[in-house]
Amino acid sequence: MVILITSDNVKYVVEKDVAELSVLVKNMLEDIGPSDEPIPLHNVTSTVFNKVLEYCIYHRNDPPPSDDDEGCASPLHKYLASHICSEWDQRFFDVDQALLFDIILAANYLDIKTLLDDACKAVAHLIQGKSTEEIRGIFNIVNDFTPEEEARVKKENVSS
Amino acid sequence: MASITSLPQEILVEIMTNLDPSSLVRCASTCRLLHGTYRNSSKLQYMLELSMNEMRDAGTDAPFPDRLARIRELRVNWSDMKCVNYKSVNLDISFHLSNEFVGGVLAFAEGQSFKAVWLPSTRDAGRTIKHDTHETPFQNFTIDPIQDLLVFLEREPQDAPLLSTTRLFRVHLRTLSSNDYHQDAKQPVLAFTLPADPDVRPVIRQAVLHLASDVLGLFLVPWRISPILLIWNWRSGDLIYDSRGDDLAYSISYFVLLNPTSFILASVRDNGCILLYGLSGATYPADPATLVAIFHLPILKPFQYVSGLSIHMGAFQDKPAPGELFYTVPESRMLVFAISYAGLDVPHDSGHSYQLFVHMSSFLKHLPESSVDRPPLDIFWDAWGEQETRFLQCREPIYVHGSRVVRIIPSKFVGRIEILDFNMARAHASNNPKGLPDHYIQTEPSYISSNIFESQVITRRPYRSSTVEVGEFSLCYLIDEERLVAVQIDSHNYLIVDKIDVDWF
Repeated sequence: MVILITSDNVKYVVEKDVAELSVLVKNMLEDIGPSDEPIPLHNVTSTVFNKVLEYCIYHRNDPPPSDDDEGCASPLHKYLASHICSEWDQRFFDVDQALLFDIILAANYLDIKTLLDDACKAVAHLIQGKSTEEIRGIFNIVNDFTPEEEARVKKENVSS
Repeated sequence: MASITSLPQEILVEIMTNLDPSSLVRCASTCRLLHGTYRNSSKLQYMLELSMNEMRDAGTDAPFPDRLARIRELRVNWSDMKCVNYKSVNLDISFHLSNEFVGGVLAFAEGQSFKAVWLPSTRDAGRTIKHDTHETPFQNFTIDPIQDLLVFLEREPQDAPLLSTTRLFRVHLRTLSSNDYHQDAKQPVLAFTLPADPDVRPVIRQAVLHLASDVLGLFLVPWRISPILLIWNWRSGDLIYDSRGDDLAYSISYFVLLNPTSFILASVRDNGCILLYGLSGATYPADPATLVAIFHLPILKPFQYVSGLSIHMGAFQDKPAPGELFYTVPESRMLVFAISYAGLDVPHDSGHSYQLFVHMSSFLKHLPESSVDRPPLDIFWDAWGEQETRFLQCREPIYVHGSRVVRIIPSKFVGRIEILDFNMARAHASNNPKGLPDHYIQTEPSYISSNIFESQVITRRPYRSSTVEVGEFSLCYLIDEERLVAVQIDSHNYLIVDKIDVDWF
């Protein structure tokens, strides 16, 4: 068992194989050796960690991720892959945007590659097929281009 | 509270990597931050270049900036027809029976000898190999360097028993680099017999061999009997399709495999038509090929007919050649149908030769997802020709690779060739804004009024045209992703291929 403490001081007792899905935790455990010392997770609140833990427990027996998608498969392949998510994952990521981004930041900090990849796909899924104006609406993005810049960006897009 | 703009750059890149190309472009146009993310990421820009060029990444470990630089350089140099390198390869071989240019390898065969040239490129100086098959002369052949495969049809034996009513034919599956039997082929020789009139020899008038990954097609036009189409899985040696059961019509003039699960037959019947078949891949005769659709060519006036119809397209390549950074997706190839017309009052050689340019997607979209039992669709010219094709009067030989076509422009004084690119995303991205007459985008329709067609033939498929002067005349010009190859014949003996000139971009 591993003891983890989130930034808002909530204590979690987690099985070792689940905790070690986080490369950050795994490396810390290796560094401190056998010990009952709790591990502080400075950048993660308990609200977010609850979700992260839910994901890690569900996926604890998955085969480890391979690095071959670093090679950048075709966009279509990527696009299809982004749609081949299990039903469980789809429900898991069906949360409000702020929490989804917090999960991404936590996965990045804790270094959990599969969660980070899946969460990025979930965000991409929100963008996929939407118009520029719709994307701004969904994410509350302010169009900060000057009219000249916007014209140039539009022109660029026609040609690329 | 976290918002999308509070995410670090590398995570924004990761999110955008999961978008399809047009969503990526729209996402990058929302604000300065996301636009900057795209502009600063060679991975994202490379993804867009791949999609624009209808290419697929080869999965190398080359850094993204290098891959991006190379794919851009290729696109721009093609667009300006600016070759960066040149090399001449001496060959000195007698006039080829046929040549094949696949995966950077140009091969010639004649009689019992075979020569393959790995052409030079930016990565490789190139090399030449030669095989002598001694006992087995070539009738026809094809190659797939990526599978290290050489397939050839053995010339029919001259010493067949005098009164025999069948002839034995053999297709050999060899290793391209060594000429040994191919180790992945369960049966290195595929044999079959054809009925033959004892008086007629040779039996075969025309042979076409075509490869698509594991699938090998052989189309034969014999004298006096109807055409034969045999399709194998060359690895297992199993026959997938055998037309000897169905008796193909005499009007079938040509064959190509589109991919391992579909093929096309060209027919000179009626006004000329293109027959699209789906293959289940099951071993013959369990599940034979199904005729999915019949594409009709322009309607002719009475007493006019199609006298010849053949098909040109680049080889099926679904894997990269060694060292390649990226390669053209096999689904984005153009097919060119070379059509000649004749009629009662039109002599054979009066110049009624045309080329019909069609993108492969025009056919693939009609293939059903799963095998459904339905009668073949009749797709008349009016329903597809005008929007989906380009129909040009031309009798010059052409060569096709991906969505580019190279053809010789007839001229008395200087050699000129024209490159037609039917990939419009790429054409628009690189088009020369100065509007030089040698490079232009053709969006105007082509109108062909001729006394052989019932009505004016109008076609609108856009393309980009680039014309270059190439100095002296060559036998033929070939292209691939990065090369323009001129096959030069000996100026004193037209039966000798003297050398090949390779320019690369």
